[in-house]
Amino acid sequence: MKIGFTGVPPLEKIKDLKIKYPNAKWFDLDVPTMGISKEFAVQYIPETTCSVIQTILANSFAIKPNIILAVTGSAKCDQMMFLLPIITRLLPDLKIIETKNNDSKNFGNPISTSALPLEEKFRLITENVLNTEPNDVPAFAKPKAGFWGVPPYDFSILKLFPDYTHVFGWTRCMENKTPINLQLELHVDKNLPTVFFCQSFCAKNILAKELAHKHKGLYVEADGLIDNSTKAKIQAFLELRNCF
Amino acid sequence: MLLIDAGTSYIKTYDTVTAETSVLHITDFAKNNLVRPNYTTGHNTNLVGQGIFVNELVALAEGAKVFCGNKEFNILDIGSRDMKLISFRSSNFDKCDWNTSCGAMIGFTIELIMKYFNKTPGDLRVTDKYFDITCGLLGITKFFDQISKDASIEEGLSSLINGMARFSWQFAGKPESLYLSGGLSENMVFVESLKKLVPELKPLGRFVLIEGLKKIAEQKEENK
Repeated sequence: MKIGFTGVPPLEKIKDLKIKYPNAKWFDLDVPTMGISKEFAVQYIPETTCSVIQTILANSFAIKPNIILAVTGSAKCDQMMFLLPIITRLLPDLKIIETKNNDSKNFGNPISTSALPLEEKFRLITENVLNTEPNDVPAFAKPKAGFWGVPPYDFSILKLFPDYTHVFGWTRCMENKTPINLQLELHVDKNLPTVFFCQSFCAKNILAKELAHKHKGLYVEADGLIDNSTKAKIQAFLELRNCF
Repeated sequence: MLLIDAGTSYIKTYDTVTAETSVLHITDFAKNNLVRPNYTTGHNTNLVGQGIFVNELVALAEGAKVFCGNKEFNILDIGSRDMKLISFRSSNFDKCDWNTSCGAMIGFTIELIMKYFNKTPGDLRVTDKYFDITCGLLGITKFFDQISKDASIEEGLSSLINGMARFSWQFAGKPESLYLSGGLSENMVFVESLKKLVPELKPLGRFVLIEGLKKIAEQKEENK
């Protein structure tokens, strides 16, 4: 049994499926998989679709899960809702469990605010989606910089940041297991040099740009792999704001 | 020491011993036997040998302080491929931006299309007409569309340059006062078009990044 999931599914749905299929292998369809190219997706959906959605389609077709636990609505995005009929057309034997996630119990953000390297933070937060119990709590570390946004398609962007970079935005909501928590998503530390990142073609770009303006941060929009110019822009911002 | 700002179309050099400067087109670069640079910045750094690399925005910020003072300024550097913006307020870094995709290729497009029609800035008049554009390549499309209708080549080129000046002004946050650096600060049609939007526009030429590189190199050498 293979179960794929997208976004942050509600804890009860995860628990139910874990009880029903205790030996199932789970796949996070949002995350790029070695050997599976998102380019596959553009024969079915426009190229002007967010890389994460393209990745979900490519992963679904290649992995062929028996079930996909698909979050749609405010906790994910409309693009996910529109993608589901295409997945059904391509994989008619697949069962899709479409769900919303209105979970409001706060699990906290210890990973986001710890001293762990930024890439490690994102790895832990994304791997932790299926965990239905709170984690061990890493110690808080005073931040030198901030990264606001969703987990990027290309994790290499995370290597540019100094140690003690805190995570904000929807990734913090992921860790807190409350994907619809606008107050938490809007929160950043005052005066902390912060990069506001968003995947191209995602509605959250509006939020990212406005927050960057409000907090004098750097707005970065990128599609797929991060090019050298974008990396250089981030490096310059962090250097000019004395983050190293 | 040899300092090099290796831009997309032009390579600017400065020799700290002789104080000699040069500007070489990228296609002529291979013909010149430059010694290995000590410090480099710019998109084409890999073409000129490594040296100690300095981020372009950081070089621009340091160079701008030399020309603009430390306190309050906005500086926009427009190269062939991209635009870079730095703002300082109350002697502190305020914001930066670097437009590398949409809005890119402005300098390259202007040079390309003027060469294609064998025109110089002296052949053109500043106009109030402009193409509403966010990218050099989209600008070319509108230019050819316009000259196929009713505009002369000169009018089309002026409208294209004015449209790019307008986009640059918007990218810079519509400031009242702006320093302009890079190759386009030597194109008088572009400068005059931008001046209509920015009352206090001060063109600085091509060597602001080199000036920043000079300052950073001096600091690093002192600390050795």
